[in-house]
Formats: sequence, C-alpha cells, structure tokens
Amino acid sequence: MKSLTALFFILPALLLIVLFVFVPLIGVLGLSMTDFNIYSLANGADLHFIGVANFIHLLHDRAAWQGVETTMTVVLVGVPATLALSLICALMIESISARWRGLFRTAFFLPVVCSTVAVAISWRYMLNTRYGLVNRLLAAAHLPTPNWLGTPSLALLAITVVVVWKGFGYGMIIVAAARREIPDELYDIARIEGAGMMQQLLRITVPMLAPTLGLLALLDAAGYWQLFAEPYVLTQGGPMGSTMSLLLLMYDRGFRWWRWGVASALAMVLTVIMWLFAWLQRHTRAVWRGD
Amino acid sequence: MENLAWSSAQARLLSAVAAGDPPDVAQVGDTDLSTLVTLHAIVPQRPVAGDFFQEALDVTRFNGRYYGTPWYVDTRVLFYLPAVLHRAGYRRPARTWSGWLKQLQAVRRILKPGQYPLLAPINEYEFLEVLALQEPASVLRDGDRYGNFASPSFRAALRFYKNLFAQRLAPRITDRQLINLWWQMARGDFVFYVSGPWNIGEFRRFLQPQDQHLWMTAPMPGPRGAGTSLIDGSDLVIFRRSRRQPLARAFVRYMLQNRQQVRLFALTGDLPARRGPWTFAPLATDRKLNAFRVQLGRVQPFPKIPEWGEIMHGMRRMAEQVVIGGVSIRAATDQLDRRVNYWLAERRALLSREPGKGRRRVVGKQP
Repeated sequence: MKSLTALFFILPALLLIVLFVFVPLIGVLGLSMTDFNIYSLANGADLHFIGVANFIHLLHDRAAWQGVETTMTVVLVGVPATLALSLICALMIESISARWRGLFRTAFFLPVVCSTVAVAISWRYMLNTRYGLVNRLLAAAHLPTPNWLGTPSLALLAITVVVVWKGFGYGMIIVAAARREIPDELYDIARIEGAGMMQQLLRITVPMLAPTLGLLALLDAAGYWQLFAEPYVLTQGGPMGSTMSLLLLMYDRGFRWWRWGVASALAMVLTVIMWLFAWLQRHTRAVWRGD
Repeated sequence: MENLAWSSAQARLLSAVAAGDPPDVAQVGDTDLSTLVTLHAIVPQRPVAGDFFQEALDVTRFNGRYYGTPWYVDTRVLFYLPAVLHRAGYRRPARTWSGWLKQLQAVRRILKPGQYPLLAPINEYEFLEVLALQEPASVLRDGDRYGNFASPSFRAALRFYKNLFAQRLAPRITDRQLINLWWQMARGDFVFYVSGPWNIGEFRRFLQPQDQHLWMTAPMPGPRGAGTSLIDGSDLVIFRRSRRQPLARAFVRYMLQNRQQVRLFALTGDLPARRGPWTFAPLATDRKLNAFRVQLGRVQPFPKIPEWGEIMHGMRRMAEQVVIGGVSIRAATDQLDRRVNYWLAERRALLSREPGKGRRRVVGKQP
C-alpha cells in the first residue's frame, strides 16, 4: 500500500522523464547507427542501418577532434579559474562589512542570471578590435590591441573569459554558504595557537570547503562540456574552427547540414561524457561523506 | 503568417516538413530550394509572368518544371565611398581585378591607421564565391559530382583573394567584429564592400539624409573585364501538404503584381524578380540601383544541389586557413576537393543508382 502511494507520487515525474529523456535518447541512439540525412528524409528507402560506422567516422574526423580539444581547453582552463574566482570572491564578501556585502554579492551574481546571449553580445562589443572597451583601455595603457575574436588562440581565450565571468557568481554563493558552516571555534583555536591568515586559509578554510569545491568543479566541468551559446554568438565556431565546441559542431552537422546520423553519434558521445560526470559526482560525494 | 529569422528559417521549415506540418506558402532562399525539391515537399508552379530575370527563373527549375516563383533577386555589387576614391585619384571603380587592386592600393595610402580599403569579412563566403564564379566550371565538375577547387581558375581567384589580406588591403575580421557596418563605412573605416541589395535599405536607414551622398554602388570587376556576379534571391513556394492550393496560387500571383513588388522594394530594398516593376519609380529613378540593373545582366547561378551550402561553408573555412592559417593554396584546395568529394558521395550514389535497385551504402572516412 505504502509503495503504491509512493508510486502514485513518483509517476507524473517519471512519465515526463521517460517521455522526454529516455524516449528521445533511445531515438538518438537508433539514429546514430543510421546514415539519416537529407536524402533519407526525402525517401525512407534511402535510410540504412550502418552500425557503428558513424562513430568510426568521428574517430577519423579532424573537426571532431578539434572540437574535443577546444571543449577540453575551456574545461581545463575554465574550471580552475572559476573555482579560484568563486573562492576569492566568497571569502572577500564574507570578510567585508555587512553594509557592502549585499552590493558585491549582487554584482558578482548578476552575470549568472543574465541571458547568455545578451551577455555574449555585450562582450562582442567590448572585444571589438577598433571600438571595443577592452582595446580602448589597452591602447590608453600603450599596450598592443589584439584582434581578439579574429585570432584563433585569442578567440578561445576570450570565450573562456566570458564563460568564467558568467559562471563564477554561482560558485561564489555556494562557497560563501559553505564558509559560514565552518565553526568559528576552529579559527579561534588556530589564532590562539598562533596561526596566521595564510595558515588559517590553507589549514582550515580550504580543507573544510574541499567537498563543496569538488562538487562545484564537477558541476562546472559538466556545464562547460556543453559550451554552445557563447561561441555561437561571439564567433560561430571560428576563426579556423578554433572555438567550435562539440555541441556547436553537433548543431552544425545536424541542423545546418542535415547529417543527422553523424550528429546523433556526436550527441551519444556527449551523453556518455555527461554520464561519466554524473557517476563521478555520485562516487566522489560518497568518498567525501566517508561512506 | 510567421516571421522567421533568416539564419534559422531553413532549419525551422525543414523541421516543419519533417513533422508533416508545413505552411501553405513560404518564402525560401534559392540555396534552400533544392533541399525542398529533394524532399518532394513543394509543388511545381507555372510562371505567373513572362518578364522574370531569366537566371532567377532558371534557379527554380528542376527537371524542366518550376518549383518556385522568384520573388526578389539578389546579386552582389561593390558598395563604395566615391569621395575617398576620388581623393585617391579615381573617378569610378575599375572594371578589372588588376585595375581594382591598384585602386585599393592607392586608397590605402590616403587612409588613417586602422582604416582599410576593403571590407571582406572572413566568415562570409559570398565575396569569394563571386570571385570563383568568374569561371563557371571552376568549383564543381562532372555534373556537380566532384569538387573542382584545385582548378587553375579557382586557384587564381583564391590567390587574388589571399593577396587582398596579405597586402593589408582588407582586415582579417569577421562580420561579428563590426559594430555598425553603415556607420563605420560612413566614417571611412572601409571604402569598398561587396554586398547585396538589402544594404541599400540599410544604408538609408542607418545614415542621416545628409550623409546619403557618401556611398555609391558599382558592378563587380572581373579578371579580364566587367565581372560576373552570383544570382541569389528568394522564391515563393507552395507546399505539397497545403490543403488550400488554389488560394496559395492566388496569393503568389498577388504578391508578384507590380504594386506589391514596388512596395517590397520600398520597404526592404529587396529587388523585384520581374522586370516590370523596374520601370516604375522609385526603381526606375534610383541611381544607386543602376549597378544592380547592370549586374543582373551578368550573373552566374550556382549549382542547384542541397550540398551547396555545406560546400560554400567548407570553402570559407578553407579560405580562412589560407588567409590566417598560412596554409598554401595548393594544399588547401586539394584538401577541400577531398572533403567536397566526400560530401557529394551520397549524391553520386543516387545519380548512379539504377531504377528499382537499392542504393549501395556510402560509408567513408572524411578526409
């Protein structure tokens, strides 16, 4: 009886999840093993089961590997940068007087709630080679004014900066909350024992925050793997494909060139990567809890 | 009626077709027409008038039938700043590539730092496409079955293109790096820009009335004389699934009347696909339209295959490698041909299929 009631409550959510997550997922898995493209949409007889050919194709596809490299770069550079910034800002707003705390917290959190597309468009203007704010400031300081979005290495850097700037506020709120959970006694004892600021930070704050930071790292990494809107608005994946993230590549293949078979295979690869993150998150959380 | 953004219209329409729920009538770009024909999604129409620009009508013809009614035509011409060209010592844009190159070099000498004689955004393929179309057979061969980018004529076009950047006559930027094209051009940031008719409307919208004399249009120069340009545009198509075919056809006829075509031009700057409306003001009297009128007599349609968009996209990426990646023209064009041949494999298989027999599977590695 009890389990029947439970089932009753779970059912609506479960149905929605099955309908909108598992059914499409199985569909994509099926598609990824076909050569579905514009010609097979015209004539169903032109649709063929080709097994894992799409995945083998991806292994040999230079653009796909470049997409992996691009996305990995954003993850590997972006995640530590986001964490560092979240931590620094969280500690900063927790240490300043309550009067200013609200202001800074709002300012740092604002990018998180802004529309990504609007943010990306603003950055596009700020990074303009000739009239952008960034290059104007650089010129005023007699520094070189690079072609930010037109140079492959700089374009990816610029996108990473936008992504980090947009995301760190969320981590900051979480870290600040976790920081407040650390008992004051620990710091009192440390001070009595003669520990300096740096020692307090490295011996108390960071270790106590480690589970939170670890969780944030995984969440950020999972988010950055799905990088799409920023390069879509800022660079369309250029120059020379240097900002073509995996998701953007999938969009291009599927919705611009109608190679749905290959696009679905890419989607499956991304899904597996996401599952890996979900598994890691569960697993590491258990480790931190000491289970 | 539903307004769709041009950049996503194709994907939306295609989704509607795939879902079996298309509109009755849609305005689609020439590039997308072959896709809809391939999908058997639209029905043939009889031309509603006898005075269409022939190339525009040809674009809609597949297997001897017309699958769309040309609504507006689009070709690319030079937009330029007459006063700056004049200061550089020239009365009007040159008719040949070599003459134009000299003008660009002369213009560069009188510009301020940060200003460029030419704007050719490296993420727009149309300019290079126009350069390539000067020799019709230069990009695809054997009935559009294989890439032909390694041909001498395309390599010559690419060399000319690359040279514009190498000589710093054009900045290596994308159109996403523009703040406001029209304002920037009026300031003299760029003196030449290859673009289409919609920019007539945009220049009039974004520049003050007293600044309208700053810009002018001219036909494209060519390798040996007056140049050819591309012909593009949009067509009104009627979907097979529509249950109101007679009404849809009546609507298309209405939209093609002189009054509506002139009104379309007044509202958007888009050029009527029929010659009739060109005899009415303001089309007949607008000096800035002369270049388009001349150019429309010298246009070259692009291959009508669904893969064309992807091929042009590939060409643009290849050109980026040449312009900013330092890849040699020989290597880049050979590589592009290999990619294009891969993209066209499906098409070759379909064309070679004997009726009644199954298609052989096309599985290959992408070079």
